[in-house]
Amino acid sequence: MTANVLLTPGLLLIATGLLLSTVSGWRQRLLVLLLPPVAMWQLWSLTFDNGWNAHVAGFSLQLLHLTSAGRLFACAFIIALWLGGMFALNSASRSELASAFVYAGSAISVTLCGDLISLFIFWELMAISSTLVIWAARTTQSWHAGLRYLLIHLAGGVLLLSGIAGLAVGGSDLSMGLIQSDGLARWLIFAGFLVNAGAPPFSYWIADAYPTSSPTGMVFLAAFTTKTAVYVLISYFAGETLLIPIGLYMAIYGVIYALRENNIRRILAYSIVNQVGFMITAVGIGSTTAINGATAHAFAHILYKTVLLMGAGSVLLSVGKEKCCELGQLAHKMPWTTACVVIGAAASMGVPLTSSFITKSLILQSAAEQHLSWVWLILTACSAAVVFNAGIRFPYLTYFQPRQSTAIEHGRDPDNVARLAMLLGACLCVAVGVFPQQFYTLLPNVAIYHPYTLAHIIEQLQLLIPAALIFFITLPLLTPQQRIQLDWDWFLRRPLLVGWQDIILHLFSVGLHSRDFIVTALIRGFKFIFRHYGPRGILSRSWPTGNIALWVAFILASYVALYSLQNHNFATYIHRYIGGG
Amino acid sequence: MKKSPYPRRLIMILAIVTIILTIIDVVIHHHCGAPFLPTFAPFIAISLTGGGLFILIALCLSPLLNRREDYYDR
Repeated sequence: MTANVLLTPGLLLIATGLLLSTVSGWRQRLLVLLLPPVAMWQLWSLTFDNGWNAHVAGFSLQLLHLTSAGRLFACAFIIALWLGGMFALNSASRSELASAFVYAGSAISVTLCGDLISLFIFWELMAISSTLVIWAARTTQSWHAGLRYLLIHLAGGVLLLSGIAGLAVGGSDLSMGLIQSDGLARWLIFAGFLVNAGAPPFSYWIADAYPTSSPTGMVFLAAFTTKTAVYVLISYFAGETLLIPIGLYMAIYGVIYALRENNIRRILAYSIVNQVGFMITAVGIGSTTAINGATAHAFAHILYKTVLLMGAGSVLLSVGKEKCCELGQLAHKMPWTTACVVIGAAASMGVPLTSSFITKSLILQSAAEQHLSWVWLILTACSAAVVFNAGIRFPYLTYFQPRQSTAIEHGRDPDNVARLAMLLGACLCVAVGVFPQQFYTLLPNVAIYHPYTLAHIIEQLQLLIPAALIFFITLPLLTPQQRIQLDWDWFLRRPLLVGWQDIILHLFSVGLHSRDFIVTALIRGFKFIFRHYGPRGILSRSWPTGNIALWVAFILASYVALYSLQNHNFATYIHRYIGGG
Repeated sequence: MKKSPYPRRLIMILAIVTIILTIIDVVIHHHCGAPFLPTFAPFIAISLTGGGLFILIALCLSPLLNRREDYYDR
């Protein structure tokens, strides 16, 4: 037990990540395969009494503070890291694996820490390490997208830090729990969390940054950042009603944008926003069932999205294409991948006997219990519309539609270890759905749910089958095109950027003009001095003594005359004694 | 992009299953979260209406939002 307390699972994985940056070969494989299970053992051997406090600069940091929700999130993160690590083992770069472990360790530390300052430290470490995962793709596109991603997350971090500082200055408690203060600090922290959740108007960063990562990188990226945001919102803002419209917007946004998307990984990125929208809405509802639903659905979502992204990554690794208009008919060439993706897609739609069937229903039930009819209606419609993104559109266009290019000739299932990772992920999606009561015992609040009633199964089929029917009927209208879709980032990337560049250009131009003016004035000044005081200047010539005496007399007379004009008494004297005679 | 052949057989199967699921609603009692919805086949109504609405919105927004792939590079 002492060993457990000395090093939390998150810190263990961060240390492993640092170690991974220095080793390769069998040592790297050993660390990637063994350390996540060790971290899992460590997590489940911790008890709720365990705690680890560190005193830094007068603050007490609770680096270990175990909660039921935190443990379930950390468990899902470790599974995602393990499966992602296995999938990436033979294709990812050393830097990507190392960054992914630090990233996962930071995310796990966020779910296991007990105060806002520790949270902030791991939050920022997560932002930096996830950016490194994006950059590990080593393409110009990933470099630019990574910069935009980092900019947004650092801005979110600044908001979060400002809020924490505001709470600290106000003497509020920084330990975990609902934030009671209603001042600006609370809203800054709220905004900082929402940036990571992909809330509007920042939902775009998920579809902008994640699909530019390497085929294996997105498996890691999809699991951690948005879900840690859901966890911290559960911990600090459960029941905040403002989250309900935000969550609903995200759920609708994900559906609509995914419908016209051509890139398979971007379809899955929009699907992330869509599903996180469900969780955010549940956090906003804030009841016992809703919090259980948000936690359970986050767990299920991490599992099935990992499987789906491994499927998309396998296609990209073998075929080198990720646009729907260049794929199709890969099911024959990649049977294992297709089978796993179909299971993952079924889990995403909430087909009975899969994970999402027993988790998403908790969120819908919570809305119904609270008599939030419109919320329930919109979430139910969005639940059916999952068919339009991860549910049917992604698998159909990738694996089943008629062949769109000759590139798919190279399609083949990934290596055995990667295939095993996909199979394990798919099995977990089914296991959660088949054993709901065992899974429900892990949830933060004790409650009894019975998802497998005849009515519920029929309702779910009544949602999914007609939606699938509409999808196939309207298929010709929704043909994927080689296009991008504008989002809120347009304002940052076009008018604001152009405006900024214009301001810079104007400032530069003003600077140039000022410099020219100063330099010209200086040159003229020097020329003037040189003309008069230089070797041939008028003041450096030798003059005859008579001329000098004449000039002196002239200057003196001028001086007297000027003085007399200014001096009234003198003028009066001249007028009286000389002029008046 | 090649035109996808219309998956007629699949559509027929899905349509038949939808009809069967609608008929089943005569004997199955649902607990619907929105009391203003019809008591008969509310989930099928939500699925068809919601799905159609989402597709309609996506198609309407398409000219406004879709741009060439090199839009930000130009």
